[in-house]
Amino acid sequence: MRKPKPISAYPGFSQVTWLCMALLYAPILVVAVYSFNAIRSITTWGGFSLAWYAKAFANPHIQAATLNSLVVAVAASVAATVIATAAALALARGRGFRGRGGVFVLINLPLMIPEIVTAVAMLIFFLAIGFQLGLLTVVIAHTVFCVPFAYLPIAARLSGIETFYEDAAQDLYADRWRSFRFVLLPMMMPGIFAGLMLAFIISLDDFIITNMVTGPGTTTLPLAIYGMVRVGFSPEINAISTVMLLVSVFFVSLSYLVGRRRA
Amino acid sequence: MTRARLLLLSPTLAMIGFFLLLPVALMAVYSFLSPGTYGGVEWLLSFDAYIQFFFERDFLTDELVFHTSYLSIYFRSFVQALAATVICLLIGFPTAYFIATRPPATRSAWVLLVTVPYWVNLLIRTVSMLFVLRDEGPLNGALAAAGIVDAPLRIAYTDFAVALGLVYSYLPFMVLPIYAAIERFDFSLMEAACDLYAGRWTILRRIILPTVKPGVVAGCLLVFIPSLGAYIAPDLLGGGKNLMIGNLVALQFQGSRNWPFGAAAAVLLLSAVLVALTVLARRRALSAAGN
Amino acid sequence: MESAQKNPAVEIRAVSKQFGRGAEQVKALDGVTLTIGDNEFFTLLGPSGCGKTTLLRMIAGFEQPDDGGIFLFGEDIKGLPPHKRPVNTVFQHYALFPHMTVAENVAFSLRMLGRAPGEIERTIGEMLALVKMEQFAARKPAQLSGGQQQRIALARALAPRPRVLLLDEPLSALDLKLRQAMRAELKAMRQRTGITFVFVTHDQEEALTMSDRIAVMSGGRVRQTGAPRDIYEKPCDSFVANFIGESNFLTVTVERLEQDAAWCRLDGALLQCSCAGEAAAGFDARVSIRPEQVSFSADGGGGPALSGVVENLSYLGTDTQLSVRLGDGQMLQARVQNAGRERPPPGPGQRIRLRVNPGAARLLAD
Repeated sequence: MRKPKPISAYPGFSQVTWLCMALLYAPILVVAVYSFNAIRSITTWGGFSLAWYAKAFANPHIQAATLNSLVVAVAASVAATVIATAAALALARGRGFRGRGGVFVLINLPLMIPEIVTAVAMLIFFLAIGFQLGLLTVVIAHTVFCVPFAYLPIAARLSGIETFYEDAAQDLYADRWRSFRFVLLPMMMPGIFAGLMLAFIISLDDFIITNMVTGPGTTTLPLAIYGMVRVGFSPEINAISTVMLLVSVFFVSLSYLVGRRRA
Repeated sequence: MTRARLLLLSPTLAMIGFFLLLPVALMAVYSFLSPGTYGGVEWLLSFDAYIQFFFERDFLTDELVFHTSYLSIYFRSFVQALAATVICLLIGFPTAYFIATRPPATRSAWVLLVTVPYWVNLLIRTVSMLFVLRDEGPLNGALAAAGIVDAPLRIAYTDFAVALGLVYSYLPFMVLPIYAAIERFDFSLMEAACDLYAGRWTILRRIILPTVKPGVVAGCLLVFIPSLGAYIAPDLLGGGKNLMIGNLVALQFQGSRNWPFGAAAAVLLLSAVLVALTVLARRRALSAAGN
Repeated sequence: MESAQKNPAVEIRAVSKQFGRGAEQVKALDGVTLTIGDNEFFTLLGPSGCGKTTLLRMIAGFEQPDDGGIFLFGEDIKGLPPHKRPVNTVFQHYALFPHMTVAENVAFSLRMLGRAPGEIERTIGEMLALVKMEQFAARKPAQLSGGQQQRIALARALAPRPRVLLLDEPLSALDLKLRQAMRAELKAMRQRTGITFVFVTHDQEEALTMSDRIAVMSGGRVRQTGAPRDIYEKPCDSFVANFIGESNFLTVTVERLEQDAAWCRLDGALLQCSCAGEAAAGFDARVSIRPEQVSFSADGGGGPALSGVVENLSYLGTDTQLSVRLGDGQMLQARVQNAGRERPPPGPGQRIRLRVNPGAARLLAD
């Protein structure tokens, strides 16, 4: 006799779930597979090859874009993490204060405003104040929209740390600064690290805002990919996409694992 | 606010206030100015940017004539975003339900599986989608090889492709809040309903859906809001023909160089999004008060 | 050390503290005055919300009094931040720093005080030896059991040799067996170190077994201060009598007053009571009688005897508890030991005679 299905199981739901997973993963997996195809063909498999990776990374244009992307991502994620850590300390510690809601909205503002609106607003602003568009404007823009992403894991971590640890530190003759430096900050570290990782990939990924606020000659990796796609598909694009995909998955997993780690 | 707290918040206030809030305010101001000849603005008060949405100035008679070319872009954006939301809901709800009814050990793995694509570069995901869907892509290649189609099926650069791209972009936003709501659902209610002679689908409609409604609403808004302002999906998958608001805005700063009009378009987009966000915040507050 | 002899370790003078504003305002402390002697094991006992933890946190410096003064060995410490007070705390949840080893936790205060490395090493060894945890020096707190964490918290707080050690319900997270073992150890530790202990608990048994003196608190006030025996046997009011141990509360009529005693009539029998406050002859008053101070006999040989009918009988292992209805309708609980009893206890419905030990009834102030 067949075991009757539990009443909580609906027919078709598992199939839809698999469809959902297929939709989410099929395109990027297809691209990853084709990046290893030795020949250009879509319909035939010419054997496994890393030739497209070699070709992509020998391209000086790609090299320059990669360097720019890394410089921007490191600078913006570090700056955003510092800003977010300070904000988390002000918001998640101590009793509520007037204006707390307003500050909270301000931190999350970059998430609420559509990217394209942020992009053109920043463009207008930089030009209005006579700021030369270039790597610096890109770093500033990235720092702004990375703050909420960095803030989230840091604030979550901080609100999970009981205040009695700081009490204990002060009871044991540490002043406020040293109680922060030797007790609270080390305990916050996993959250800060997770925030840094998220900010890093968010910066690495951005296209729309970078596209608007960058100056002539300053290209990041997503901009380079976009430029190449406009010309036509080439297996090199698949190779770069696969690398960026792996970088994202790596940093998200790292952020997830570290953020979850117990103190 | 204490001095220490103000000090800690000052980088946030400075950075986001100076480089985001102020620019958005300036953009709103620009929407009421006159366009400069080569981009930029003339500091002359003008409502032309907004009038331009609805009326065209007739070349000969100089009369304002009602036209719909810009309105239709807003309308299309709205329809596209709505379609994406509905498709996401149809796929997302069963998925969220399925995940929430897995054993706790495998549940978090499923959640991670849904989350990871969100963190993968949106441009790369959309490019991948275009790669698969285009005339010379693997999908058409496979269809042709199987003898199902003779000529390549035209999928890329259609409204359908844009909708598919939006679904692909924002599907995780639908699944996660619904999952969170269903996970909190007390499944003994289901047994109680079953005991009282309700069938599976009646239970879904009468018991589960009303309970998890806040999660469903949140999911729908979280898909709808970014879809409305989408830029990459319509740009790449629509092939530049099937414009949405995001593209219209960007065009004014890249091609057409009518800054006040671009700013006005952005202001209208932002207003629509803020209305939707307010609805979301109200809902959240209501459900929080309900709990 | 002469001044330490002259001055009490901690002196609390008319301290008040309010939390919240407007309608949500709560009086956490309401004019508390206390003197804690040097070398004393002093316990603040009371139910949750009575203000005992607030008072402890005030001594540590985490809270500031709205009114009144706090003195440490004669020195006013009001306004001094926690890291400048020579007192240390054992926290309720230990608050061991999770990212540091046991040795680093113990050394923390010494490093903050800028002690020499050699002295720090030596103190770590001494302190871990004191709590018998030498072999755990390199462990992280998460790798220790609750009891072991408790010992490290104690070692960490004692390492800088504070003049007063504050303990905030340190045993509440332990299981019963461990809790009982730790009581004796804490008491011995206090004697060995010669440091004043101020201990906060809601557990009356803990307070009675460890303390030199107890302050019973409720509603932000100190109800009674005294040695454990005084608190238990001579409660001043019904709150203290009820909170510590079990008691019968009965209405009596005061007949005659003497130097320290009052003679009160209960259901026809005349009881010798001790007085908690002022009493006036001829008026009704309340007495507290501990159940174990009531004995019974089938015939009632000698002494003023009460008579009543057994309504209920509970077997409690070491004791048997009888609920007896007296002639005037009041209920009296009597507890008798099971060991050494030859005859079985009386059953429900049986009429028995009861005796209250002379002086065991306490005439309450309220």
